[in-house]
Amino acid sequence: MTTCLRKNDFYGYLADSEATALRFQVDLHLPACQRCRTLFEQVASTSRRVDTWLSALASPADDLPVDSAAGFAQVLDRIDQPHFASAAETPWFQSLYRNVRELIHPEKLQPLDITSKPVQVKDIWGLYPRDAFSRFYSIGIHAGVFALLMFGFTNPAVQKAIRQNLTLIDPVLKPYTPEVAPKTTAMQGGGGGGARETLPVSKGQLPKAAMKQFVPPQITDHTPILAMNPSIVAPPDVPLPQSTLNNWGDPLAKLMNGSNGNGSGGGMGNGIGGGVGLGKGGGFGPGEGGGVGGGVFKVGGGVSAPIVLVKVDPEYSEEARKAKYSGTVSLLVIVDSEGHARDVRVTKSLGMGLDEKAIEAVQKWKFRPGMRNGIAVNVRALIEVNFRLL
Amino acid sequence: MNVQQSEQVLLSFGRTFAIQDRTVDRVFEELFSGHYPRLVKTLLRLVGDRGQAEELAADAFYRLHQHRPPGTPDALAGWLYRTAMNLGLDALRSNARRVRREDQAGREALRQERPESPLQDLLAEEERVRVRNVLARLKPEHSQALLMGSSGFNCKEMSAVLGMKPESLYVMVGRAKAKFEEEYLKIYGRQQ
Repeated sequence: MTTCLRKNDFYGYLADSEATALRFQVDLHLPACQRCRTLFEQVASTSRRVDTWLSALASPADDLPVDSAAGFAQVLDRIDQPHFASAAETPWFQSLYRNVRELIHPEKLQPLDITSKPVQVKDIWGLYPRDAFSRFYSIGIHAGVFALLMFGFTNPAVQKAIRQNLTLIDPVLKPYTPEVAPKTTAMQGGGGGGARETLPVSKGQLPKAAMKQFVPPQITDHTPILAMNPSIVAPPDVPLPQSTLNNWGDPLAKLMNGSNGNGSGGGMGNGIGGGVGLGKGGGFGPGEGGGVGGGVFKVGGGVSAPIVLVKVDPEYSEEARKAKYSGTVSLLVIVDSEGHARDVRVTKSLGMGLDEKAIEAVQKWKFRPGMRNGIAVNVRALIEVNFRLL
Repeated sequence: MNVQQSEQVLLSFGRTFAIQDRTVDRVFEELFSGHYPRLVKTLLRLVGDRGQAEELAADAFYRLHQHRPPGTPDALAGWLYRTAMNLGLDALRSNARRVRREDQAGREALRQERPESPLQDLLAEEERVRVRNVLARLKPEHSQALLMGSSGFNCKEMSAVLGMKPESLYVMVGRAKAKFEEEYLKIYGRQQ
């Protein structure tokens, strides 16, 4: 068995169709060697592709006869033209040297023999001849137009006509007083709870309201040794929905099924905490923090306002500082029982980035929370942040 | 071209230009009559313009006349082809902007719906422009080998013209084809 062949051998085999030693060697070796056959296929594939691409160069113009006589005449013309020879055969460094030399020492030419004389022609700058008084004409026209306008607008008849056609707007000049929502004395707040049961809370009667809760309402299947009446966190004098049923539950529920609801934290309902209902805390209803009626507490009705303990001054935005812009941003926040502002909403905006700066500052403030009967509760409060430039 | 045809051509040249009074000699005349048509056709494949191909061929013969390198007629023919191919490749590279413009024009034309025959012509012309662009990027000896191979030169003629042994020619043709394929696929991808 002969040694394996190389790619170049295969290229030679494909390129040369004559009976050469290489062709004989390839014909002998290829049937016996799988590796060389694979390599030959690769080479033949590349060769075919390249030949196909190169065959695109053939065009119908190839078949046209070549005019050798005209070509020979062209060559002889070039031979006979010394300027063509010098231009074509001069090396680049010689031509560069000659150009630099001519730049430094330009060839002195014979002075031109001028046989003509300059002829006066018309001024080409401008379509019209210059006039010395043109500037006075211009000043006079402008002054005339100005005087006409002044006379027109100061004439009482013209002013009267204009006034008849104009609608005057009476500006409101009364002092600005912010409009605030009327205070409500209605109780707000709520609570909820549950025991993570699958059924919704059972219909039943609410326990009594008390400002301090010891036992949340629950439906239990055992009798406690020391029974204690459950309660919800709400002022005792708050009217609550009533039910005539004997078991504890949500009086607003639809079914009486003995369930404590799918909320958590004790109590009954779908909320969180020891209350009854959908809310969060020990109260009743969809609100939070105790009480009845939904939402959070508002200042008034026995609920004290939160007091700022730590105040961080807001920064001025760069845009507002450049514009020397000032004003007041009003924010509606909930001061939670831990004294932090949350759920901040802008009720009066200033723009120019000052709203964001105000929110950023208020969120860093520390409050003494609003109190109801000595207990810290979530309270909604309106905070005004002033931006003033000295 | 046999000797009788060559003599007829030379006689016609003599009648037309009275070359007995010129400075060209017998060897130059034989080279011209034997290689000029084939050289023009080879250059025509390279540059794609008949007038430019004839100009380049005439320029190559002019340089041969001016330099008159020593050697046998075969060596002179090799020098002539190498010079002509280099001139053609230089022209091809200097025409690169024109080639790109034509390439773009071909693409634009292809986007428009045309009858069958003009479309085929456009496709063929676009392919020719691509092949010439790739040839202009290869080494001159690779381009020469590929072009001569595609123009009908056999290995013996190519070996004589390029002045190398057949074994070396095989190596060069193999490398040239591999390089051509690599360049073509690199520039135009496998869209063909």
